[in-house]
Amino acid sequence: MHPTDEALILGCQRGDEASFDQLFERYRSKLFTFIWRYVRHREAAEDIFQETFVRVFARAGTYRRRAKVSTWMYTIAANLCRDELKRRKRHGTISLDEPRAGEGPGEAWSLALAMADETSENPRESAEETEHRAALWRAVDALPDELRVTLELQTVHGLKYREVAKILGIPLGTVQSRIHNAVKLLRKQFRDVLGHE
Amino acid sequence: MNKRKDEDIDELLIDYALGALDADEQARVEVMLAERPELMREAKALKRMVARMGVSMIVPSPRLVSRTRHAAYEARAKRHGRRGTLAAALRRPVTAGAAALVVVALVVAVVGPRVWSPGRDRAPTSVGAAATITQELRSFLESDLEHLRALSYGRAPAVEDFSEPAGQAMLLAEKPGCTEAQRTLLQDIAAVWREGYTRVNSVGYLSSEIIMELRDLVVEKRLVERIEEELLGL
Repeated sequence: MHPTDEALILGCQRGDEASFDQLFERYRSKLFTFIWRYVRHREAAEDIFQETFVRVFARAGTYRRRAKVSTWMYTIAANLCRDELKRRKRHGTISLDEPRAGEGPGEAWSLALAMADETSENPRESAEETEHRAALWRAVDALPDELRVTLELQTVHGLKYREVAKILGIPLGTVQSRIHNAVKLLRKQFRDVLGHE
Repeated sequence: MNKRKDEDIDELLIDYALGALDADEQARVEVMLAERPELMREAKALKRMVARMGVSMIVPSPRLVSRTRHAAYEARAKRHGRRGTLAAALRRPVTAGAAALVVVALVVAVVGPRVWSPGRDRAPTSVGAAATITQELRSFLESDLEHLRALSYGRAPAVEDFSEPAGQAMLLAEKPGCTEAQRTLLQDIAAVWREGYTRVNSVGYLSSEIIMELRDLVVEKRLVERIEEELLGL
């Protein structure tokens, strides 16, 4: 039986490294994806990823049961991402990195996301579906940052609106309107494709 | 007034497609959809779009994983003003290496003279070695087959640390009792995982490009078929 997140964070509070390892294994890919998509800069994402888990373990004692453990962890990461974006804005380096070969946030990255879940064994169907997914992800990449990050927390990470609100530190109504606006923008671009499937 | 109502319905449909409604709201929307085919079409289209956004996560590189773990252990130990546990120390490469050397030295000192004394066999018998290698080989190939098969379909492998199967395959290939054909197969398996490991490390994540390259290698070397044939013979 898998221990719950709550049990693992209690273990972390006692300084149990095995509990931390399990929590780390459980969330490392989710948080890395979230962070990278948020800051869209590889080196910064790696540093924030490390700092997030450093804080999770070192400050496990500050966790209160007001929110789920996952929400608490995402909130730590989101705060660090916001700080990074503010820092870059102050230093006039807010523009996104030029995507390098095989690296986000350019097309290759979107494609990696789109294909990572590929399960079809039919090569033809797979190619067509991959193309649709890649096009959708390019459109997601082009959304304004605040809409994109909010939408991805709900769709990619499967979080509820109220969890997204806590993580981003915004009212529930703002989460709803951002997500509605994001979906409306995407639908506008993909109406032809969606209508003919 | 009607425009407002249409907007409300539209947003309800978006929430429905995103699975963000509670059970009561969802039931109400489903009744409405059953009565209005045009809304049903819209809801289905939205659901298809949302489904395409449900994807697997990007895997952090083994280097980043290792770096993060150690940083977290260190920070925790510093913050709480105590040394790390023995387990943590053993996970650090330098300490683990030193500990391993001590263990090896002790084993050689205590067991060595008895095992390798004149008149005794210097190595396990070939029959014993063959039995051991067969068991280990079967176990390794069975578990690796699943990952390589997934890779041959272009799916992201379940294994996140590519270095482990590469290392296991190379260790097995060097064991006594391993036939020439088995050794070649193991070396080919190791080459694929090593390539993956190197590529993931250089890019920083498991990209579609890497998956496709690895898939081509698996297909080119006929790894899945060769492993299946080998397993039949074991």
